[in-house]
Amino acid sequence: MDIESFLYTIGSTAESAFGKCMDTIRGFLFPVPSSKPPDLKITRGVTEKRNFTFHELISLHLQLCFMTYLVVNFAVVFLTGTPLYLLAVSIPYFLYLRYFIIRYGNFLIEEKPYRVFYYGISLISFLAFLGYSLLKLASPEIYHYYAYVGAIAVAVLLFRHYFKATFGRDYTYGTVEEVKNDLVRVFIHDDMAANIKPGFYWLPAVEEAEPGRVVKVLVEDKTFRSARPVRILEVYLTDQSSQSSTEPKEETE
Amino acid sequence: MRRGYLLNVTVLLLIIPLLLLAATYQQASSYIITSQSQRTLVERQYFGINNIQDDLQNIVELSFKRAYLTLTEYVINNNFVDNASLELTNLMIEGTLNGIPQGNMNGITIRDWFVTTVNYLNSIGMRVEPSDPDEFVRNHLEVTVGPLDSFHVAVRVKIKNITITDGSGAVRYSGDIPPGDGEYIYSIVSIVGFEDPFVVRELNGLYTRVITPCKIPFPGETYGYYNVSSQDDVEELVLNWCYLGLRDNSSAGMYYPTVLERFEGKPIVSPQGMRQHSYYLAISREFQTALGITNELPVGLETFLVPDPDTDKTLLGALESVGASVPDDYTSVSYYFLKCSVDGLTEYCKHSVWDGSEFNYPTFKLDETTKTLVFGN
Repeated sequence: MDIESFLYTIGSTAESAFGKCMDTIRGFLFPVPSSKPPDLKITRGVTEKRNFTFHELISLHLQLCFMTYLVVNFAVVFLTGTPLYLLAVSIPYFLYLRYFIIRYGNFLIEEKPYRVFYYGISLISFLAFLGYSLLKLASPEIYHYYAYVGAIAVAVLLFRHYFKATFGRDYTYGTVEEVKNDLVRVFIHDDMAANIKPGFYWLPAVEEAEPGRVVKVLVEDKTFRSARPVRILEVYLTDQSSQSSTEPKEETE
Repeated sequence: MRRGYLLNVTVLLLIIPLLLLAATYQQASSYIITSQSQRTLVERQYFGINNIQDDLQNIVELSFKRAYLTLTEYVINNNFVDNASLELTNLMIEGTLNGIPQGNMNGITIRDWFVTTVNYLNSIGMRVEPSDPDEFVRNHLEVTVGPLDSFHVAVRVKIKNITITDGSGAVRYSGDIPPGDGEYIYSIVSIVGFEDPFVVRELNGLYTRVITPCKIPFPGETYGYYNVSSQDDVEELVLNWCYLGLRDNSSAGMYYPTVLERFEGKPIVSPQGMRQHSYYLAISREFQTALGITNELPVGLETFLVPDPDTDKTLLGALESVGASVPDDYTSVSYYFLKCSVDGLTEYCKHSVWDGSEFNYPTFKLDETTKTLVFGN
């Protein structure tokens, strides 16, 4: 083999790899909204079902990221208690969170509540664990730890109150899947603003409820638990539906 | 049919404080271990019924010595007391004499000790029942003062039915201190070197004697007698102003006062005096048995007064200034001599059967019983 061309191949590979690397870093630090949905193999692998909507997938991904972050924080605090390690974990996490939300947030049905919630909750847990590790450095009496945990619980509940007051609603949207006598089976998306879990719900039937139509559903809030859909408020006729993005099958095809 | 993989908002939020709470497990467990080992250490170092008992022993010794001193001072400066053992007990417990608080006893009474001990035990997380010092003194404390032998007074102390619990309410100790029936804390004070309150008081402070034992403190079968024909032995008794321990001879009607009776100055052969005297004898026998003194020691304490201007320059003057004179017939045993000459009680003017004129001490006179006790037959 020609040694010159071999070296040239190496050089060009290195150059393009470097370029790609820089692109990746630039993309990571200055994300732009993507038109392509994310791949998220790991998150997909978590569940058996493959027919997730992108909305659900992203929501689940955000949640898993946050849980991982919490677990790592817990491990750091429990094992070492050095505030520096917490920073080392948190900076990449926040960068990734920002990257992910900016880049793929537009695949969420309603982006803002998710963004506010995950930024808020991440910030709270970062501060909570940072404060805890600082408290640990001061090694006070055990009662101070409990007082601190109590204060964090209060802060968390205040945040929930704020979130609910700002973004909370008592309705959500769903898609009629099936009509049976006086009941309709409605698919409802994960909706953080209404605090409702995704899934199929049986609701009392209304006129014009036909499979494939988008409906507005009244939900009933329950303290410390997910809200439950109660009944259909409104049916959007197919031609005037602007909520087609809530239709799961469209996006998962 | 809901897909349950997503957590709702509230649960997601509450995970944060729950995880933090879980993280406190480490601190809590280390806190528990530390405080437990600390408590064990504290208990090992500072709490033990033995330590409390030792402490009580110390305070009893201190307070008993000080009480004895206070009482001596009081009798010398003021007057005889009615019941010396009771006054010593009151001094030790409450620091009062005839009901009047004595500054000498500040901080070293058993009551003070109890208050300090309760405070201390509270500070290391222990509770004591009873904790009220009045209640403690009234119902949980037994103090008995009495003569041990001629030259020693003793006190025996017991704390009855006390309960000590730790912070968790577990009983750490319940019962008496020292534990066991018939077990007491004893403290013994030697009276050697103290002034004899009786002689001082009777002669109104103009004449004094310090209690020092003679060459043979307890003349008798065991330790031998003084030699009636020895110049040295007689001079020891006349010139050294020392004290002898003598045993009563009730058949002859001769009773020798114990050291505590020398604080009281009561007529020993009066019914009241006899009751007190036999109480002291009984107490001293109890003490001697409890302390393992097998051959019973005498309790009476006596010295000889020889009204001779050559051997004792101050005695005659002192007698004179209290308006007394040397009687015609007397015994030199101090109690009888002073009761006879100063108080004018004729039943104390014992008939003398022997005097020391052989050795140039004609005023050293002894009655029959005392002569036998000192010189043998």
